[in-house]
Amino acid sequence: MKKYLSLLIAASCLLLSGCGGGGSIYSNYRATEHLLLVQALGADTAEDDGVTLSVSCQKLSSDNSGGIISRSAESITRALSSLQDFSADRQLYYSHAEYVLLGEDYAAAGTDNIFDYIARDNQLRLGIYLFVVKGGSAKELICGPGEDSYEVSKTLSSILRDTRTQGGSHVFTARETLRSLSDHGAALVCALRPYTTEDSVFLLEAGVNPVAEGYGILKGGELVGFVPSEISQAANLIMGNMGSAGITLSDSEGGRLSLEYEKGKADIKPRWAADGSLEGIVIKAKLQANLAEPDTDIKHVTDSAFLSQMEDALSRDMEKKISSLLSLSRELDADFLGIKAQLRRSNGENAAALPDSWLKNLEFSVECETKISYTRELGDQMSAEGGGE
Amino acid sequence: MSGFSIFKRRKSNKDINKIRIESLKISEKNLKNIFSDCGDFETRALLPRGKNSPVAFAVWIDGLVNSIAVSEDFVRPFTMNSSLSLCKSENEMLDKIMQGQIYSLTARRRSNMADVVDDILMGFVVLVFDSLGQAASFDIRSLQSRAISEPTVEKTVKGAKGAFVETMRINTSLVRRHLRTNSLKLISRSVGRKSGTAVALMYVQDVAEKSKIQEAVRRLDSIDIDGLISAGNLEQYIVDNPSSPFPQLIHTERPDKFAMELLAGRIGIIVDGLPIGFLLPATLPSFLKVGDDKAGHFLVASFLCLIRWLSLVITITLPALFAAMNMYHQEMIPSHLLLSIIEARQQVPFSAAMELIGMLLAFELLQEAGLRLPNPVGDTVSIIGALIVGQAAVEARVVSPVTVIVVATAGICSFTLPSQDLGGAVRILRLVMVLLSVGLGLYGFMLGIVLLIWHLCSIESFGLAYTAPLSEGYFLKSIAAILRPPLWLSKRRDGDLAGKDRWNQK
Repeated sequence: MKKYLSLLIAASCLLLSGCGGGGSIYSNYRATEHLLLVQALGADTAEDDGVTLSVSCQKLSSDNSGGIISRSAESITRALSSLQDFSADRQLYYSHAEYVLLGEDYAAAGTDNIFDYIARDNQLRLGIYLFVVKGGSAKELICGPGEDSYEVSKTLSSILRDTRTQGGSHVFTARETLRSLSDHGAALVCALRPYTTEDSVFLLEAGVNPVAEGYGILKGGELVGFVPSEISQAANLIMGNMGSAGITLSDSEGGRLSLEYEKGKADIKPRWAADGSLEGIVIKAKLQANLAEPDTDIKHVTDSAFLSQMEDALSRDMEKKISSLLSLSRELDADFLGIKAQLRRSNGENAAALPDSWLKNLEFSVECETKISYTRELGDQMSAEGGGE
Repeated sequence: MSGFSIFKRRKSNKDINKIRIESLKISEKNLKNIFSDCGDFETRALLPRGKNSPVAFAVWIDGLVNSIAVSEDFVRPFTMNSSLSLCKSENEMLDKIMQGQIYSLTARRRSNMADVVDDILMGFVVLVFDSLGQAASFDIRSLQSRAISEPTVEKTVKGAKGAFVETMRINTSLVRRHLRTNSLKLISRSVGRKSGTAVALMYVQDVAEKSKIQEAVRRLDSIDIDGLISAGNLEQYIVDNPSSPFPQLIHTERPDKFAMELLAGRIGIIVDGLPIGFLLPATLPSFLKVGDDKAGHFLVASFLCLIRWLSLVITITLPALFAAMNMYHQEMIPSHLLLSIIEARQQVPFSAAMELIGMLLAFELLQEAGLRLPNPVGDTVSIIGALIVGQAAVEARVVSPVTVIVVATAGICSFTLPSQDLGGAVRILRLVMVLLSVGLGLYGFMLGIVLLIWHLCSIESFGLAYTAPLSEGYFLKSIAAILRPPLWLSKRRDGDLAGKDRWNQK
């Protein structure tokens, strides 16, 4: 009796499978062979304040289906529905979409809609990578030169891989951006610039290709400005994603030193006044760089005075970048670096009492210390290894 | 006995034939009537030396006795022994015979016709004294039996190469050679109304638990069937859950493994006519261990044990998981793999469900075909079926290569399981899991897993949980059950199996 009762209870758990709400236990069923995997989704402002959605799908070699489609409608939902009408026997499947590109105009008008849709949709995930297109539209990058063989996702995945290893602009996911917007009221988004080539450049197709260039700044969900690529390293340093970015310095005799940053750390120390008000912040950064290519008299490289001079130059350079970055943040009144969170960690009570315009009036100073390594002469190195004749 | 609760049993009725025989007086005439129409039943009147009329009759079944031994050790001493002729009565003669005048190690005095008939059927030669209504049985059985050969299924590298044969006495002697101790006990029983099959229950005293021994004997005694001919006749009548497809008796064809398990605290059953030994109680981890595990290094053996456990999990879950993810949860599949699957399934005319179930059934058909055909042909058919037909099916886009890979992987994993019985249960489970996944997606898959675990936890084997010691909650004991710990650390026998004597080494 107990056995039959247990079986009955197990069978009744079918009610939990959602078959009642969906109308069929097969509401989740999809025929795999009919799926078109969307890899990248682009959003631009359309006429009449609508939205233009562009998708890039993985192509199937067997029947040449897939590719790029773009449709406009008054809302995201209608636009997606219009996209689905593209192929009668194929179903656009968004669960594997990895990239969302936001046109500059669309992002400037506000990104709440797209984030909201991503968060609510049962296919799109918040782990999707976010880009903003600087000086162009998402459709332009998604559609590219219009060739069948063009797939923007390949270039985007290459950008993603490169930023992870080489520094430059870090790519954030939708979740990270939303969290930053929620915590700090502002967030950074990797910016792409359409780069036009007349001929194919290695694996880049001729035509329009995306190139990473700095960051877009979202404040309250709207795009308010850009962090130029020259000072994006400073943002990476403060966010803790230094990467191994390269830098070239010139010495006093016209020679050049190419270095690669190995690691870096920046601490934000607030200076609180006796009455609890914020006097300013001190940013202390420590950097380590490796000598990659000394295009100068090699004897200079081992000279400690010369090295010291180069380290100072590096430190000044980074201090300048950090200062420019903070100035931009102050100018836009967008705390995309999460300074207030640091202040909160230091003294929560004081931080909570800060006025709304705290960032606009923020005083700051930057101190940077750099160490250069790998400065042995090549001849010494070869002797040590026993190389050469 | 819980295993019998599922079936309604009618009251046992004793064999009518046996009732009739028991009431008869022991005489040559009655024996002739009992064995009427038995062309191999022989009788011979014997005249002791110095006597003028036959005193006794020798009866036997031709083919079961050793003719030369009968002539030399039975007929010659009886007819030539002068001391028998001096006996004043047949009773005195019978006494002298029982004291060794006939050269046979085993001699039994019988006054019950049923015992006489049993002895004749066992291959004994019986000397019948009509006037006394008594008989003497002598074990002069034919030694014809299959030679001890290598195991056919349980191959071994380092272990003994002998396997059990069909003769029970030879099998018990093989076990005795591994366990030369008087603690190795043997309880004999006869099972089957018509077959009278000899069954020996073996255990090591104080190592095996007494209550389990008594229960095993009781269950053996309660088997009331016509004949104990196949292994299933024993297994399905003494296990706790006969309706479960999972095996609940360990069986082995190796005497060394049999002896090892007896030393662990298990009880062994050897059946005359079957070249295997049964061991109880059985647990799920015991079906994933092989005899050679203890022969190798513990790290290597543990690794192989892990492989087997992994194979068990893969063979049950892989096809079902593939069905669920392919049909309902494509977001769980990595992009590149999903694209490969989409490409592979283009132009396949069948749905994913039909394709997978069809492939599973085709795999089972190939397996069965390979078993039924004679060896040389069977191997060829398996190769042809698997390679050529499979290849042709993929090229013709009847099935997709991914499905073939999934089914083949699951099939290969099932071949790594040491127990054929467990492999059989797994084959059914695999199909059931696929059906659940096809119908209900991941929910169906998890439901299947839950039901499977529930079922496994509900099975017992002679009072021991089938999932012991995994379900007992002792971490180290569970690890020891899955892996093969170093022998020098396994000083104590498993408390679930062993009796009073827990220590197996210093």
